[in-house]
Amino acid sequence: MRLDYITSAIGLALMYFSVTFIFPSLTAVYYGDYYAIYPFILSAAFTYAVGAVFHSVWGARRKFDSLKKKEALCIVAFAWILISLSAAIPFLFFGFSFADAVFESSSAITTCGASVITDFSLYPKAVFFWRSFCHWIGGLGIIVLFIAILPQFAVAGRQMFFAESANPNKEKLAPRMQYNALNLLLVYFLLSILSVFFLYVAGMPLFDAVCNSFSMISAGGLSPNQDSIAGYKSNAIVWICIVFMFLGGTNFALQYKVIFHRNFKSLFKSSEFRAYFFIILIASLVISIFITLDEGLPSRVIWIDNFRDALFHTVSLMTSTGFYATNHDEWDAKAKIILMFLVFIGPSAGSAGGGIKVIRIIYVLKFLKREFILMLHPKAVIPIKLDKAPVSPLVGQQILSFVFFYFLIFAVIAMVVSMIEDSVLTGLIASATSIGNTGLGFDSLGPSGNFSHLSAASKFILSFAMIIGRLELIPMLVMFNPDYWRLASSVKDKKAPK
Amino acid sequence: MRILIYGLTDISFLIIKDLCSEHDITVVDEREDLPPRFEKLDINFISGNISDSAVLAAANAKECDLFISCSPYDESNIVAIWAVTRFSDAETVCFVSKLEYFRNIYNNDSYLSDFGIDHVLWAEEALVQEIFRIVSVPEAIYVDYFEGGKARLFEYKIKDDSALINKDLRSCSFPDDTIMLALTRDGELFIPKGSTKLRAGDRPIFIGSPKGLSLLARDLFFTRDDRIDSVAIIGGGNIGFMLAQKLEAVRIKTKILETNMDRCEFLSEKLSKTLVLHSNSLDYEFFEEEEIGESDAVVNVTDNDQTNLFCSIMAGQMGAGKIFAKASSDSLIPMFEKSGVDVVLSPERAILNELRNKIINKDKNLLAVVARGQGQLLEIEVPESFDSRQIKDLNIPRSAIIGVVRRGRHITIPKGNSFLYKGNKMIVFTKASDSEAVKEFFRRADET
Repeated sequence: MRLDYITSAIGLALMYFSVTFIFPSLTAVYYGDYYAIYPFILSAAFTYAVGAVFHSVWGARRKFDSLKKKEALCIVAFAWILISLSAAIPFLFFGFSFADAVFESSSAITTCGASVITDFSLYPKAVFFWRSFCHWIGGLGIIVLFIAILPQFAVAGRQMFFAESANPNKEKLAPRMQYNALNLLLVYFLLSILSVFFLYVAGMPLFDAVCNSFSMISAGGLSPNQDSIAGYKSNAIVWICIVFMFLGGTNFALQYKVIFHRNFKSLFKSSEFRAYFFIILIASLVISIFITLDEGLPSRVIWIDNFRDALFHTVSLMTSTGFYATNHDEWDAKAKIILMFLVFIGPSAGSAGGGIKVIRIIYVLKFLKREFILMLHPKAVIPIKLDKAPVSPLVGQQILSFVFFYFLIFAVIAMVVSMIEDSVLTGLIASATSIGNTGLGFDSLGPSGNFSHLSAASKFILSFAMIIGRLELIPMLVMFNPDYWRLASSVKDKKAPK
Repeated sequence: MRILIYGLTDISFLIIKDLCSEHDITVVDEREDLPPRFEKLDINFISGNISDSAVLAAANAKECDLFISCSPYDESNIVAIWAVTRFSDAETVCFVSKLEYFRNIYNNDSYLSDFGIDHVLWAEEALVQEIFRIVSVPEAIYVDYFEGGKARLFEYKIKDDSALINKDLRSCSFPDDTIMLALTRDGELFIPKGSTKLRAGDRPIFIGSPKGLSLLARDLFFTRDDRIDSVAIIGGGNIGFMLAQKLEAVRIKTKILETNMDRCEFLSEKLSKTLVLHSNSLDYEFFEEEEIGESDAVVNVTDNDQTNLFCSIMAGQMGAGKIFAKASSDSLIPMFEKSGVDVVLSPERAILNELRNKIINKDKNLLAVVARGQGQLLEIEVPESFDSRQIKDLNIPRSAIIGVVRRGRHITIPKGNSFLYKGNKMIVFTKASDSEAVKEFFRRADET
């Protein structure tokens, strides 16, 4: 590990990120909340200063062509942590405790969508804009990361999800890779603009339309309305949100093909999209049946209403967005446990959503099916295929260990948080919804509550869990290997004769 | 017919042996001397490169009617045909051994350039088609379809425990719409009489409508099920692979046993539902573990005759249904059959049949041959001047049986009291040796 490369890169990331503080300041100016300008300006200045120091402290570098895998993972992990911290600075000016500020900003940057704000009237619009904008920037960052950076380093089986963009000869950031990343960002922008347009036309105030769109396309979930989408009391808005949350959870590479190459067939040829589509369809049908049968819901008798709400919550929790259109805590336990499972599955790879991702679930199921066949036919040769192409054993192993780590970390964090909060339910839900970047849970963490009542320790742990989940575990987990650190220091010593 | 052949190979030897008595054959090859086994054949041999115009002139290519290119190299064959067609209008036959060439030449549009190839033959492909037809009919050991499947020909084998043994044919009640055409006993085909008694190992050939034949199969051959459910393929070469693809498409449970790991990986990647099994040797334990004995059909298509025969015997002992085995040479066929192989497959034989039936004899009435060429199915049209009458009044020769009559689109399996009208088309079965006499009979039928 070459420390100069790492610090320079992280410094650059912070310096670039400091630019984003301009947008909430402009919002504050526009809405006349002049007192809300300076927190963002100061944060920008501070972030830029820290970035500049990082950038030059071990020697400024501008070219990162020769990055090694370990260095790249280190940069990714620390950049995400430091950006989350710097995004927390403005919140401190609005009376947040340090733990709350870190939690809120991590939640925003990781597109999680969990919140500690209980009374929305206390804060200027700029704060809500900042939360949603962080979602959007975080989503954008994750797409670039997963499509342009991590595939070449072969992390968590990512290399195969973008077969067309992964460069076989493993050169660093080939032009083709940048081109692909740009294409996907184009889709990201397009969806955001369309979403704002439709929400605005459907009667949502422009500010809310922009913020909600930012949250939706990035699969975030923080809304400027205290009651999320339920607060707008419009069925049209609910339907629009269903569509854009669904698209936000669909592989952007696939959407690019459909939109710009008019290749509609590729949509249902993709086994991941098919599974994503049918899981949502079936889950929402089953949930709507459960809640219709459940007599404890007095005013809800119209089936289409129930289906719409079921669909909304299915899409919202599966894509890890975390909006709500009604209080799903009032639903049957049968409906709620289905939603809980969807939180683990998550949306398609190649979206900005969190969770395990549909394609990994497909792989694991195929792997288990193969084990069944091998029990009867020990000599069978069965490759596991995704979309008719065999998955190499190495990639398969990475996928399996990812899923295993995912549940391991879920269990550990659930245990720790349960102990701190003295509530098993809270621990399990908080852990699942943080690692999965969903941000909406059940019970006290559901639509009727939020994360504000948790202790500061839990908030820090959960913030960390969000970042681990966001970066798909591996960049964070490698830090637990002592070699990772030992090498770093030894190279640092030898740095002098560079 | 003047036939020009390029290549001295096993397949060309078979072709020449089969055709040289009736046709005028010239062979061209780069070799200087004729290999000994070719010397006994009545052919004209020219040594040289087939693409050389001097060689083509010496071979009198301009005058030839048919050019068969069967060197072992696909590329040489394609170039040879390209060269020959510059000088001659001969019909051309190209042998290929690679799937890519077969596909691309077969679909004429694939190569924009015209190579002048009229027919592409791929021995393995022809064999796969044949196996697939036979596999899909339970108990049958040969299957052919006519008139778009409305009339079918099945060959069965009388098993040791069959209720038909020692019954004379008069007392066997075959269902309506089926006719027994012939019987093969000890490799000899003959047309049975009413008093003929069936023996174990006899192979009767039936023709009939699909419905009639399925009744026949159920009542007389006690097929375990209406359809084949599971097939085991031993050997994952081209034949095994292509057969598995076809079986997959009709949802038959298929497993392939193969000893080469790389090949196993290739197969398992290309096939989606077939179970690919790998073992270092095709031994008893492997067969036992994979319950090969439970399969409705076992197809032995490795490259090795010994392996094929040994695996056939093992599968037979374990109680598998129909057993297929590939034999590299015709001379092995009787031995394979005596060892319990129900269907012996020979790629060369399959290709020869195709060459003979579809290309050389195309202007005649021959529809198909059965029992290794001993029986023929002829398509004959009832002459315009024919007075309609019942078949029993026709005095057709004993060696001919009218299997199918087609009037317009309507297909019937005739009985003795069925009427024949002018313009009807018939499928007539006859022994190959009587074929000319039968054709002659129907040509004169209107005069009698």
